[in-house]
Amino acid sequence: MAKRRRTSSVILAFFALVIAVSACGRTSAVSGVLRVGNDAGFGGAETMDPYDGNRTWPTINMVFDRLIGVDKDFSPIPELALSWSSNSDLTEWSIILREGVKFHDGSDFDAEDVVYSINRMIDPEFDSPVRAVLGVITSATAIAPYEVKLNLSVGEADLPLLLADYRALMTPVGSQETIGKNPIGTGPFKMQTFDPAGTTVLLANADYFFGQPKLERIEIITFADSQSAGQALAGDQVDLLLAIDGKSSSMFGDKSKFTLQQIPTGDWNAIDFRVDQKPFDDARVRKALRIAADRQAIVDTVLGAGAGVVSCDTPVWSADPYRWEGSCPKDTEGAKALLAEAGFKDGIDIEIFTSDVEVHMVELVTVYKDQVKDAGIRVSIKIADASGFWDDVWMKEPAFVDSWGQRPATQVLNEVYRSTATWNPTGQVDSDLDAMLDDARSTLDRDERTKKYAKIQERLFENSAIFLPYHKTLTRAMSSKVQGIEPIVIDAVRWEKISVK
Amino acid sequence: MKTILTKPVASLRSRRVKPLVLFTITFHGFIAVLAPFLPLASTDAQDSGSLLQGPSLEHWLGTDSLGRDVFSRLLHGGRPSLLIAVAATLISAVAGIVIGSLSALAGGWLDDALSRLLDFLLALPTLILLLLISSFFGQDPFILSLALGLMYLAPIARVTRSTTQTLLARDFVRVARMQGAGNLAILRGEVLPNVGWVVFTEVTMQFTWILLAFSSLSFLGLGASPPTPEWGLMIAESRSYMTLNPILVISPILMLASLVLAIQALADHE
Repeated sequence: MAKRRRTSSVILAFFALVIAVSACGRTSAVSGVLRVGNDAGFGGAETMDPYDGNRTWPTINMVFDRLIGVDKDFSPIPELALSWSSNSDLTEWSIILREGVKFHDGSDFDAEDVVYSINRMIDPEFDSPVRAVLGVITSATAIAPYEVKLNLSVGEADLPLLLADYRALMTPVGSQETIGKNPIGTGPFKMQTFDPAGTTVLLANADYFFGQPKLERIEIITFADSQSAGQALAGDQVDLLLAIDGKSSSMFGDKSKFTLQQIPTGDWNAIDFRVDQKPFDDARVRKALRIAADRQAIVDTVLGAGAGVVSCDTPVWSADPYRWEGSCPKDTEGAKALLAEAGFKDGIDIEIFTSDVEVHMVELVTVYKDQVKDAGIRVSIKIADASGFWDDVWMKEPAFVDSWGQRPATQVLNEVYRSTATWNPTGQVDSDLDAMLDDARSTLDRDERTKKYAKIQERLFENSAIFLPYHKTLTRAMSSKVQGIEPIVIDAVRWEKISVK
Repeated sequence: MKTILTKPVASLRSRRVKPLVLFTITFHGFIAVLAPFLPLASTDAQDSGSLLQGPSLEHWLGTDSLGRDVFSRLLHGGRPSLLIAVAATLISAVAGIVIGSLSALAGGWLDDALSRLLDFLLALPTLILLLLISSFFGQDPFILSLALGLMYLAPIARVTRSTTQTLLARDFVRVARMQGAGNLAILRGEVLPNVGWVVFTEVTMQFTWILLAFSSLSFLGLGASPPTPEWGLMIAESRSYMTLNPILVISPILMLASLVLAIQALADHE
């Protein structure tokens, strides 16, 4: 009997020891791996330098933080900055920084890092695409260890929203040479392996100032095209796709396995015509090409019914307070007349380049071709290799399909349409438009500013070289194991709050 | 009159080619020629109200992601590949027969040089090279036909060369030489009529490879351009919706596979 009791005690002690050792091995609440499918749009030339044209997104937003973020309504909220204020004419802004924040290498984040980061963003020699957004900043000065003053060339009422650009991320002083491959940020995840053509691995930053991430690791897995990424999610090879083709969403209809989110966004596709190439140098041809299509039919066929909002060539999305609601019905006769006036009485032959690098890009031009044939516009579709589309085709060929993410009005108008913008895809130079942009952004009165932005958008409909038929309602697809991603635009997603069951 | 095709045609007549093979080839030939004249829905007509629909009386095989009629597109889908394949096969057959017979007749350094050229062509990674050509020169049908024709001539040239060499050692050729016939006369009168069937078989096989190569290019986005109905392109356009409506992918695969298998069965038939 005593022997049996002793044996029982030994067994109990053994199990107690096993449980104790197991408990010691656990790392609090941090566990789980999130596998995110991503496209290979820059053909492996991606960099982690957030100010570089080949920045890899959304990885940069997991490693770095902005001064100011956005909430689900796209209103500015504190991130690395705690508060901000301006003088009366909006040309001088003071930003108070969060104290006690550390970079992944253990160094402190302070005002000098902000000055360094902003100077890189606005450096004309470096010519970052972010310069088109924040080029209005003429100087950044550290006036205290945790306070920065920004001077602007013109007043900008929406500077906080511009600072919420997904690339306006804070990097440590002197990091320019190394940041592309070995990024050091303050963000919720640290870089372990950077492989933009394969799998990039990020590890949780336990000291993150918004709280320890719930995930242990994020893997960004690159796919050659959106179709293979969709198959990967269906086959449980990835957990999250930031955007899928809404028409294939029924593929993920099993609610026990997948979660779908429908999110109205400011994302848009367009067909861009280079104004420095014939026949697109003629404004009449450009307008004919833009008014010859039925935009609602394009929305319904390309995206699916109800999966988008018609746009009359304005990049300002429907929820933005500065949105201009124009009317742009299909005008076949008007298009024919404009073409005849421009010397194309028998119609016109054009080539448009596209690629399946992102969803809807091939479908858009296929449907456009069908839509404009009545006006005598004969479109030849050229398919380019997805891996090099952004480097070899975009902004280089005379006409090409384009894709942009959501941006506030002041940002998207300055980044895409300002004559000097790095990412002005059509090469259109319009000094009057530039002056209108300067005037609108420095107008103090909100109503007055709204009217001025509406005038700008009307001008775009008359004169632009970008056929912009819709803003998308985004379909995000993920495994039902993924928790903590709210149905909000990706810029507002808090990566540290995501977990995987 | 005896021609290069006399023997193949006579042989074809005498062989008991399976009815299924003949039916398949006839069917494909029929629809390739007559598809534009059949009472089918337009291949390009889009309908936003019926995207990705299953089979119905109105759309026998359903609709694709842009609401286009899949049945109509399927019947038209072989035409671009067949046109390119016929043109490319003619180029490879003519060039292959000329190079192969010239190599065998001339012998010496010219035979060596041409043989090395054929080795080089055979060593080239065909699809990768086609992708490069298509990337540089675009999707021009003439350039694609020429490129495919040149890339697939080597096997035809080799078969022609070896068959010609065998024939040159035969008594009737030697007799012709003794009677004063030159190389050209021997080629025309003795060699070509006798290599016909062997070369015809090889040409037919190359035709199927060219057909598959062009469809592969279209699948990769560098062959036929949208909205052309072409089987490889149809597969590429529909693969995202494969689990939603498998017919979209399976039907062009079946069409392509049945055509290729039937032609190969015809070529192989003994």
